[in-house]
Amino acid sequence: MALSIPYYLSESQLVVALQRGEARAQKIVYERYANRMMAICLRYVANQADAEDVLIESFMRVFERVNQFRSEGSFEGWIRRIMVTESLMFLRKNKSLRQEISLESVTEEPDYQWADEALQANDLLRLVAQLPDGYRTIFNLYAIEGYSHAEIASLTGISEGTSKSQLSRARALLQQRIKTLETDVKSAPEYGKAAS
Amino acid sequence: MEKQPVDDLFARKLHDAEAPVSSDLFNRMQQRMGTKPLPVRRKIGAWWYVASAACALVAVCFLYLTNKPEKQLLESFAQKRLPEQSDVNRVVTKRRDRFNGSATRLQTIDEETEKVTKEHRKPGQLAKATYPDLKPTNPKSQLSAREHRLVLTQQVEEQIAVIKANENEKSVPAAPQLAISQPGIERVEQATVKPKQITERTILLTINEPQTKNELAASNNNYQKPDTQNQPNGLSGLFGKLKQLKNGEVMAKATPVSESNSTQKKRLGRVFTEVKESLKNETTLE
Repeated sequence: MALSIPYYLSESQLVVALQRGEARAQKIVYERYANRMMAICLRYVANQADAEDVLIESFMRVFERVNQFRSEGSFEGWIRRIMVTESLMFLRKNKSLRQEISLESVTEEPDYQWADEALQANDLLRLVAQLPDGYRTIFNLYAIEGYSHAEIASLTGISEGTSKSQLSRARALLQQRIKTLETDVKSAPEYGKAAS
Repeated sequence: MEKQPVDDLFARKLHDAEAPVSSDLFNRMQQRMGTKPLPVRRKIGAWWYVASAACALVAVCFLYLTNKPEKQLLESFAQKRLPEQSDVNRVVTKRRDRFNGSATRLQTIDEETEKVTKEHRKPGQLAKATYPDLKPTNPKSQLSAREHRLVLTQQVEEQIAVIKANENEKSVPAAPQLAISQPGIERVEQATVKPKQITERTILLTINEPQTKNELAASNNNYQKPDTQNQPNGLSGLFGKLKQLKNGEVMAKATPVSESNSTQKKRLGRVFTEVKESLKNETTLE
């Protein structure tokens, strides 16, 4: 029995193999990027099962459209954009981008240095997941992905003003919850013993 | 709108974040894609490891069964080679018995040799001793019948003189008791014994009373008849020969007897002949 273990030295060879439709190349791409893309999906789609559905659809889209990849940017960035697009399409289907919630007044900003040291990625991902879908999407697109309000407006179909307002509300919510976390942790007796 | 610290915090922490996925997610994706699921990759490495380990185990077992380990070999060898005290005692007793038997046989050989040499044998003649009771270790050995040269030493010569002095009645001198080199039973290199180099020879002769004709005839049967034609004529020749013998290696000592010149000449001539024969035999011995 012939033993063939494909081993793609570079990203371009992997892309060529994907363009030929090799199943093993698809497997390699999935194993290489699945976890990172899953985090992106979870940032947009808070539900784990929905995020996995979005992930599957996104990879299927990648494998279908790999012939459109022109090698002008990185292959990972191309996949990431597809993940974001698919997440937005999922949210648009569910019409959850226009939800708004009432905000409490934020009295003071949290200690960002403490938050940077104490909060891990999972904690921050949980805070993002607690945001409303509209706020979360605008915050992800603007703060993490780096889109402008104009791009966000074109991607989501909302106006730039709505994007700006939702971004402000998303920031306020996150600052408020980080401050709550900070207060809770610092008021705990274990924190005083550990700090001393 | 500028970025705020909260934006940087989330961007820094979440841009390259990872989240675990379900193990069957890829198969679900393949089912949705309508493609055949990829065959489960055979764990070739594991099978190869198992096969290699099995082969190595078989090889080790084969080597163990065919060749015992070195330690076990050494132990078995030590157990075989280390004799017990009883074995040592048995070997020592056996060797002692053999030595005692050899000593007894050597003594017997000495006695036989002495018996043979006591018979009328001339010095220097080869003595053939047979040892029928001896069984040499080497079957090809010829130890049962071996010839030994008689070594004439100074002590033997002195012993001859003493015997001659004691046996004045007989004209034929008794054969000296010779000490021969004892033949080795198991050592072949002692078959031929080199005689010691004679640095000084002294022969003591005793001239007895004149013998009768019968006695002379009896003595001539045992000894070779002297060559009378080569005898020196006259006193001058006789004294010259005696002087030559004296200067050489033989010194004659005659008993003072009041005889006539002719009788003295005959006696001296016979002495000369005997001395000459003795010297000739010694020369052949050397």
